[in-house]
Amino acid sequence: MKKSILTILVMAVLPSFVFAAEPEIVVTAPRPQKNDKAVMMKLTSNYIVRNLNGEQVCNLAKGSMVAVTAVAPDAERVQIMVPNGPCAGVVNGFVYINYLRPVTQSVDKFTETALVELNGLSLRKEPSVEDGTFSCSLPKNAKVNIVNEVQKRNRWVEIEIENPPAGCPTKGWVVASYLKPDLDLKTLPKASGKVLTEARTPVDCTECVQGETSGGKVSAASKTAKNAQEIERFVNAPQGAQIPSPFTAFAKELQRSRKCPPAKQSEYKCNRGLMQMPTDGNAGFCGTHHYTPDRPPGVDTYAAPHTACSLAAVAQEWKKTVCPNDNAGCRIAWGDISHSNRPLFNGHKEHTSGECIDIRPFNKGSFRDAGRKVGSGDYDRETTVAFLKLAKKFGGDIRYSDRKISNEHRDLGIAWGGSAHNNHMHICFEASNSTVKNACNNLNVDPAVCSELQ
Amino acid sequence: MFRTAIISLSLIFLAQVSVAATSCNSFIQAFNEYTQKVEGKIVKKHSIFEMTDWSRNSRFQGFVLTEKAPANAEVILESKAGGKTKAMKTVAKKTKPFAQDNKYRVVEMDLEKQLASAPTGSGSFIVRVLADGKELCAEKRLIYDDGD
Repeated sequence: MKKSILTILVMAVLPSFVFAAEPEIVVTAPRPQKNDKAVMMKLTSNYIVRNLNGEQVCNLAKGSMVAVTAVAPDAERVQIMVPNGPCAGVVNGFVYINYLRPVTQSVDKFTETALVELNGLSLRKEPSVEDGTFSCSLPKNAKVNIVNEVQKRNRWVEIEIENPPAGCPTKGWVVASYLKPDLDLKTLPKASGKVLTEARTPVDCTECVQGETSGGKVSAASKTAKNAQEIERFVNAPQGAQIPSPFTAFAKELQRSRKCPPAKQSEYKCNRGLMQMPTDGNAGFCGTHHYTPDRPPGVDTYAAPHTACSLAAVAQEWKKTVCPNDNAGCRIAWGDISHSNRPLFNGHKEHTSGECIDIRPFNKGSFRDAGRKVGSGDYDRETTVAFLKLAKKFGGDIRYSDRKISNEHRDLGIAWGGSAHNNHMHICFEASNSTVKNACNNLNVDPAVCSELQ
Repeated sequence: MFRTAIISLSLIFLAQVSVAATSCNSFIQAFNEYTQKVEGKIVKKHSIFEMTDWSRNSRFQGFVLTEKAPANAEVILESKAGGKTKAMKTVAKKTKPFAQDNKYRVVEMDLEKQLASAPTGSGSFIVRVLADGKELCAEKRLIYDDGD
């Protein structure tokens, strides 16, 4: 027991020795109002933890175990506490509940439980939306146990259904993003307090690194220490070896991450670690076109720095080598990237971290600011293929629903997006992709092509 | 004579059906106005196109009547979003010249208000063009959610 407590204390203090020292910030944990018992949950993806203002506080790796202690006023985010690693002692960190799964311990194993979020969620025989995989439709709030997981373009989970509807098997695959945690947020106390909107340290956008800790010292309240003990007991239970140590996984992520080239901070707007891609009305960077801009202007054009590098590289090379004429149908037309301070906006579930962009299929003839689908009369498949190849070259992960392109260009690894993706390409440039990092390192902006990026 | 009458009646009937079945594209289209940087300066441009479904990546700013549409044409927009939302109907009788191309007339109607208000991003809308109380065409399109 003593060894365990010592380990916790060492792990909590270690980051401040490993990383650059930051000014000390003292934060007082809020007093819990209702249920004092933390709920144990597991993070379903690498996550940038933020305060209620959307400012970056620290980072957690996928699989991290956290204690959920309170619910935010928006009833979508929960306050978390972690015993060790870069988020150790943080009391103003919030995570969207959909990125967490409750973990319960039974006799011989840990079980992750979830509820179906949408009515009619398709249960499939395998992790694919191809024809022939459909099994049945699941009703909203159906309770499921997650037994397996596979990451394709989407995250798929294999589930066991406790009370399957008539005609449904007891097991199958669903897209993980349509599950919600089996947790009633009303049972949690409400997070409150002015300190919850304070950033742990100011975010310096010249060093917007995916996975970098913000360092610093925070004096821990008694609640943190108590939660730390609970987590430690949970993790060190006989089956604890199956749960990866958050600190080890996060340190590995740090090793893989790289810094972006410093931006000219005085010329670029920056918020929650994202950089605003320049636009002037519909006129975008490097001759691109930004369709259906949100209000206020530019609010939907925020990209993660590594993604910004890739987007600029793609747009610059496209204009120089394929489409120098902005009046031609080959001109890149893009919609949403991410919001300046709202991870969720416009009904998106994935435009949260600044890594994904929506791009319209290209049209034949002159440029037209108009939507089009695969199969539309003016749809230019050939130019669309050329663009997808270029995006892939710079590390893009693509979701698009053109069967012919998917079949004839399997090397592009295009994920099928159903009917919702036959009128736009959803392309993500993620930090974990080494090609994206190389795009950042090798980017040389040509002022004749991309004057807005100088 | 009887045979001639039948043929005439058939032709009249077909003419009426063909008018009602005429694609709305010849009378009404969608448009977007946008800005573009040309030689360092921002200029206004526009696109006019056959109306599309309504979604995040396929929306448009409004309708324009073409030269083929009668001067007294009126436009009816009916929409029904998914779920338990009520159907909405807007009738527009006024138009104004399209500043960027005087061959077209802009239908004075707030599309954003009616189509973008669908909370679930699903449903459909129908556009009808009428003149002198007679329907010239009707066209149905989808409202859907293509956000991810």
